[in-house]
Amino acid sequence: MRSGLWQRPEYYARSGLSREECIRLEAEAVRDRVGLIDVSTLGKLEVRGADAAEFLERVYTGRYANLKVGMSRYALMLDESGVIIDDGVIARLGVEHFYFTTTTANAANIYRELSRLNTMWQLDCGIVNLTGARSSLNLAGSAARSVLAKLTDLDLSAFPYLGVREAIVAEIPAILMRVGFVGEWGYEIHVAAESTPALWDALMEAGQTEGIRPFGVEAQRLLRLEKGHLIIGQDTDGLTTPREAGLGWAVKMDKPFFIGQRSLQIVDRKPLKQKLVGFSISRTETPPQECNLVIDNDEIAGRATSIAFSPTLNRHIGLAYVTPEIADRNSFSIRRSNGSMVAATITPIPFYDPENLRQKEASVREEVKV
Amino acid sequence: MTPIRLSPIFDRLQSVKGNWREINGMPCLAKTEHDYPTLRMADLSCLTRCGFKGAGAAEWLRDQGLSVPDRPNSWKSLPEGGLIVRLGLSELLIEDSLKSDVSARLICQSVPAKVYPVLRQDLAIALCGEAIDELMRQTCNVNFGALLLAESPVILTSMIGVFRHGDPRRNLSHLV
Repeated sequence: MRSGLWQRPEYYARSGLSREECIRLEAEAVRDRVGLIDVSTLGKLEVRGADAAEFLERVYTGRYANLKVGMSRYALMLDESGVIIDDGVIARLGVEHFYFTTTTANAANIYRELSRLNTMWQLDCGIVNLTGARSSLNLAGSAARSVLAKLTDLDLSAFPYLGVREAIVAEIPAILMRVGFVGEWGYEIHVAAESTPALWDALMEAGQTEGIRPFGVEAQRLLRLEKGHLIIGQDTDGLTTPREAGLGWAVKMDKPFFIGQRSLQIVDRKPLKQKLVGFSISRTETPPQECNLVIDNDEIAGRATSIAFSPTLNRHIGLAYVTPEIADRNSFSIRRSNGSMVAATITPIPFYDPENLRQKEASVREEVKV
Repeated sequence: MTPIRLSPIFDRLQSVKGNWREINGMPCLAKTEHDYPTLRMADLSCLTRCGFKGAGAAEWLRDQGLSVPDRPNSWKSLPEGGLIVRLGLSELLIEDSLKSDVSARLICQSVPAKVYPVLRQDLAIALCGEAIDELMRQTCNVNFGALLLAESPVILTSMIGVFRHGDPRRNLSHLV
């Protein structure tokens, strides 16, 4: 399937199995054992220099000056009007050295915009676009650590959630980020692009006994939806602000400045017009499609942004923008493409592992609530 | 076991009959079975290269004993072959020859302020032969015939939609 400028595997076909069955098996492999996905299409940038932290503080809504070396943090980028335009993860590799990701579709635009800002601000830092030079694979699942341990001398027991490490994996120099986009214990492993086939093959071989399975974009979209993680551009549009998308936690309004801050100060004084909520629909119902409208009293009152059948939860789940009044109710109606209506029950997000127990050591992990 | 280094066009070259050997840890098509007298193409991705950006990059490279091109979009030869290419006021690319090891030496060094190392993972192709002008006319909108070899020009353009740097020499174009 096309993904921006890239071709990505939608799913890995298996003879005798339907598309849906293949996606379900891939998702189950990640939930139950371990899976591997190529996420090289993410934008990958570096900023270095004495003002690198200051630069990121101005560009992103979060706080990065206090980010410890060896740790990473979610990053949200707005435009001047306070609308969400991108997100990613920022890792601090050194006091003056940050490595960070952008969404697949936005990599070139974000690099161009950051270069423009750097020229304008004249800060003491330099930006390098490594999108084509680095590749990344996401090894995810409860067995991810045991698979990775076979290929590296890195002490994985001292590698916390959101940690970042530089190490050798399968004889390849790598940057490892312990992130959890799909909601499982996982490692994003970033290497020089020329070494990606060797890393992929080494991980697949090392994971044979754990039942490793490659997974594609569709399984990843399902898994991240179960975890309630947004896809910028799908679960947001050209007007979405952080508060509407439930990302207010990622915005540090008490910072001296970031792009979009002034607009948010104005927007925050006004009542919300829409709010992103999670919803569930019985498995026996025909689900609506993404972009189908939320209808209330014969009026358009929102739209569904993501929908998938969750094998883990045994029901259809989704995200939708609705009016604040609807968000306070238990349910709402979505109009399918054929004009029929279906009832959706508002459900707290994340749907899966709301207490983030999957990111904790097995010894302290309890049964995951779903 | 899969080699640690693979060219971006490794799969494409499998259909070309010829002799392969490992160069800098990368399997390379060293010689083709057939001769192509008017236009020849070689995958040079195996060569080691590195980049440096920042206001202090050119000066630091001079401090390392390299002769740095004065003008953006020009190149010079490295002492043992290979190239040092100035892509902009503050961005340089170094590509070793088969004999030199400048990249490996530079990558190991700690750099001062205002110098930022750049990981280079380029597909590099050399084109040569009398049909090269015709090929470039069909695939790129730059008139290479108007460039002066004495000025060691470097062109940053797109070729069939892919960004590239090129340093055209007589009947030889080197695309990175």
